[in-house]
Amino acid sequence: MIGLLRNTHHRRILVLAFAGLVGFGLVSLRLVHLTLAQAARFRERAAGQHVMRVTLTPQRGDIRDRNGRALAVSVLRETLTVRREAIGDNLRRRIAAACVEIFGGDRDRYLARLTGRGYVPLVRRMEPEQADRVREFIEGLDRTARGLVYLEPETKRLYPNDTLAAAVIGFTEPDETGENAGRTGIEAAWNSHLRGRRASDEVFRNNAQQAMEPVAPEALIASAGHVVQLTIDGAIQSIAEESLADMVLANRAEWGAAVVIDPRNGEVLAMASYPTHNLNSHADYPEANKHNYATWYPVDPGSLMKVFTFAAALEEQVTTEDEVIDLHGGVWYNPIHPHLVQDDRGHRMASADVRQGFAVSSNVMTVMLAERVGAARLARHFAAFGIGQRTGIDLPGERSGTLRPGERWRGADHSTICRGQGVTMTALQAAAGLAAIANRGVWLRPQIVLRIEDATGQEISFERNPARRRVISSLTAQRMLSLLEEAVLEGTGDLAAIPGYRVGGKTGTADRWDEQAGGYDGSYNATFGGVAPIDDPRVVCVVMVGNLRRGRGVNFYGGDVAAPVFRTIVENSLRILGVPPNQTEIAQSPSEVVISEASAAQPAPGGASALANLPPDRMGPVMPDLAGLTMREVTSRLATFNVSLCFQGTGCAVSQAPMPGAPMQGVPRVFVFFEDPQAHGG
Amino acid sequence: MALLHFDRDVFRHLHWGLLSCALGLSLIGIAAIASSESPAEHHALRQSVWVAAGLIAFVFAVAVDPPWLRWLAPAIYLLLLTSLAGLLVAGHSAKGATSWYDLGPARIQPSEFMKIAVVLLLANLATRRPNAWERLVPLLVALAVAGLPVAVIFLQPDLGTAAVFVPVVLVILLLGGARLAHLFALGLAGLALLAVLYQSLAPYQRDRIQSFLSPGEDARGRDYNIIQARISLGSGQLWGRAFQSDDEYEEDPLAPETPFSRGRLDFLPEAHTDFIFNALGEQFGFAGCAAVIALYGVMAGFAVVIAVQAPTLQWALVVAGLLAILMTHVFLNLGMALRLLPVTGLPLPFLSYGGSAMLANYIALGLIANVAARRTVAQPSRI
Repeated sequence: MIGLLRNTHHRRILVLAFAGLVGFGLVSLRLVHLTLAQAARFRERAAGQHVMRVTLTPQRGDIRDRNGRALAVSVLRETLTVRREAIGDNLRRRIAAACVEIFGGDRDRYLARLTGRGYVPLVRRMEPEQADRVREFIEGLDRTARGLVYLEPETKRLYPNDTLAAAVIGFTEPDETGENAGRTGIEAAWNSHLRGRRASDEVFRNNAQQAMEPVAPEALIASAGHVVQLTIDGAIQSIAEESLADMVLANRAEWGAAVVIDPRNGEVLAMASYPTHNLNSHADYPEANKHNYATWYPVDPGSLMKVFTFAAALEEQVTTEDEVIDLHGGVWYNPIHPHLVQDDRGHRMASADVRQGFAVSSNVMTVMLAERVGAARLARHFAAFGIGQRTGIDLPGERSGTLRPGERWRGADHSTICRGQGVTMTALQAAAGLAAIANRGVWLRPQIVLRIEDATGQEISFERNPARRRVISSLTAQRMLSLLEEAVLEGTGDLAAIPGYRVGGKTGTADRWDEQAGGYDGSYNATFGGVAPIDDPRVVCVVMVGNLRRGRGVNFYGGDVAAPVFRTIVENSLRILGVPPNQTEIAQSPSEVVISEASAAQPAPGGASALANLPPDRMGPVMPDLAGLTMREVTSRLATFNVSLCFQGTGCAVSQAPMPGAPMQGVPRVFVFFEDPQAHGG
Repeated sequence: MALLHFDRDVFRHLHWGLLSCALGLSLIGIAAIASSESPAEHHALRQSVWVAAGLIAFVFAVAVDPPWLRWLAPAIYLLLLTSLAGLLVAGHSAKGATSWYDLGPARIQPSEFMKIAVVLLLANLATRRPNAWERLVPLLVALAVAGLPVAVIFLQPDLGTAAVFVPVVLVILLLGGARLAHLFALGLAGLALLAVLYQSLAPYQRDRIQSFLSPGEDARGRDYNIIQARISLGSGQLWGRAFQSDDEYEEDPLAPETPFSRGRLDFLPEAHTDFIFNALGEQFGFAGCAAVIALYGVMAGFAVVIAVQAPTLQWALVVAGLLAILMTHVFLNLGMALRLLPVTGLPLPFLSYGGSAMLANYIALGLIANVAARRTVAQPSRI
């Protein structure tokens, strides 16, 4: 049998076997060529195919208060993205229908957005439950459609405290790349730190462009934005906002601002602004609610300006606290720059020492001292206190206010700027100026950012932009603090007194200058600025309540409107900051409650003087309250006293000197000021 | 005489070399599948089961009594032909071809077994009388016997499997005594037929041929599979990634390298079936590929010796035909994997994932071993 093969087919077997050998040879050669000779090339190509660059959605950094409490955080949400040119009409209609079902809205609007080329983020940053429903919808699509409709992670900004410090924190809006960008406040000013980097990481991928492994944690950290910790204390901020809002609403004012600064380092502990907005729904609020009134709205400070005028006068040594100045009965015609200067009708005095003049906020004395200093020098002092220039705080939208240089003061300017009319400043500027006095005469640029750290908590150094300059001597600063304390104890700022603490402060009431109308529009700005405790200032606070209109039940004097807000804020701030009360001070003011009630009951400006602190049994006959009485009624009421009466104006009594409750012993003359209830005047 | 003859002598004289080659290839195949599949897939496990089933089939094939097989061959042929025709009515479709019967846990592809049946039947025909194929009519009858199933398979349409029959039939005809002149004339006629058939090919089949003839034109489309397969094969270098230590991994200048195989990353299509040689190249490098080629070479060498030493011409033709089946698959698949030939989608014997092919391969191997054992039993002293 073998022979058959051997003879006839031997050659054929050989040929076939040879063909097989050739086949094996070819295959082997080719194998060597591919796996050995060209291996490096293929390996490189393979390596290139296996990785893809994943662009990381940067996690925007948190904003926190000085105690680490979260003010703004970022959470991961998902965005429905569609590759438009690749979807057909049928799929387009299905997507639109699903969106209407899940998110509501108009089907045609979805369809319009789905028409065109490129990728479109159809619904951004949806809630997790909605994302689950979208995911369900996508999984129901066929395989090719699934690659065209997908969910992408995006970060969404959340503000856990809604309105708290809204004007300071600010809000974000997606920029043209879809990334959250700060539009206002800290979010805008510190956007470059908060934003994070568009980092990327190489990960292994499969052929369907899906990542086969998670992104490296280091890359995530590198891309995450920095945490910005503010100097704001959430608790103080919260109290400042509440008490400010209450007062603005109670007096039907248009706006209010309050600033609390630690004078030792210029750190802003609270910056309240009203009206405000909820950062989580900022789009629902009008533009007016989004301003930071503490930095954006410079107004005439009124008598608060006298703090700086008196500081300049003491610094220039044109007077001393004890100099007694003839006030010409509170009505004085300024002969140097002709202008009639009048004191508030409640505080007209023949003469007073500087201490007293400051306490009762004498316009006449202020102008006299201003004239002694001279416009040029005075304006330079004001500028040194930061008036007329931005403080340079790290917040956007700060305004400078206006302060004309002394050389350009004309006529009445010499008599008005020194007492806060014709010059404007923001609450922050006023607070920074007062803080300079509280900080032994050294002005510090207010700071809003305490610390910046990366995602791991590592501190990041940043340009702090500090500025410090000596404004007045340490001695002058001390003397001013004592003047401020007296203004609270014995002058117009009595409602600012806090039992147990030595508080100094100055009221201000200014006619509001209407820029558009170019005149005073008959409404008022009430301000109060103060320092506590006087012996070691920890808190400087300025409160401004703006656009108060005269009306029934409405206060408009700084002492009545702004001082109680100041008091609430500062009292709570000192407690929050752990500043111990001064025991002796408590002992010295046992009738605090009585005084508060008495003054709260009276709409009269000024209020009870410190003399009322005398024990009741040592008081002789006291001055009755004449408010609301007619001239005839006042005459009959005061008939039993041996005093001469000086009446001014007509109508009903609105103010008097001495104040109600003051002892009548030795008082030669009683001033009573009347106003027609219907009349509208300043 | 029993159909199955579990003679102790037969198994004592079992051709262990042949079986070792097949087992070695099967194990390498399982390793290659396991290293390139994702954890969710269980191809390697299922392949192991198929190898076990193949070994049982091998034992039965060795035990079959040869005279019975001579009688059974026409019956098997007719049964398979009927089932192939039945596929056109009730088959399961995959990848554009209707080649499977879906039997629940497994799918059976009758065409795999048809190749063996054709070899057996042709060997019968060639030895009905001496020098039967020297005349044209018996030769044409033999061609018709082989051509009928080919035509049915072509209709499925499974171009690759149909093509396998051509060299197999040619080998049997050559060794069975057909005249070269006849074969040459038939070859010309076949070429003419081929030209006609090309016109009737489905677009994807033409694409495969086009893709081979003009490479590099369309990297993301038509050529994608081929290009990716070649990158996979080439990236394995000498030892492949499976043996690369962690240190080498770190020092690799071409880092970053992926811890995942290209099959798992879906870059290598059909990593467990058609392109298993490329997966092998990536995981076990040149060494693994060379070992596989060597095993096929040794296996072919054994089979050639067995064929030459076969007791009768019929069994010589059976061995030669079965060897032709295996080697045709080997060369067409390797040619595709190494980019020497167009993509035919044929499995690599003993390596590629697939139950029917694994069973058919072990049955073919068993029949070869059967012949080897009888030769040894009949003629203890080797010639």
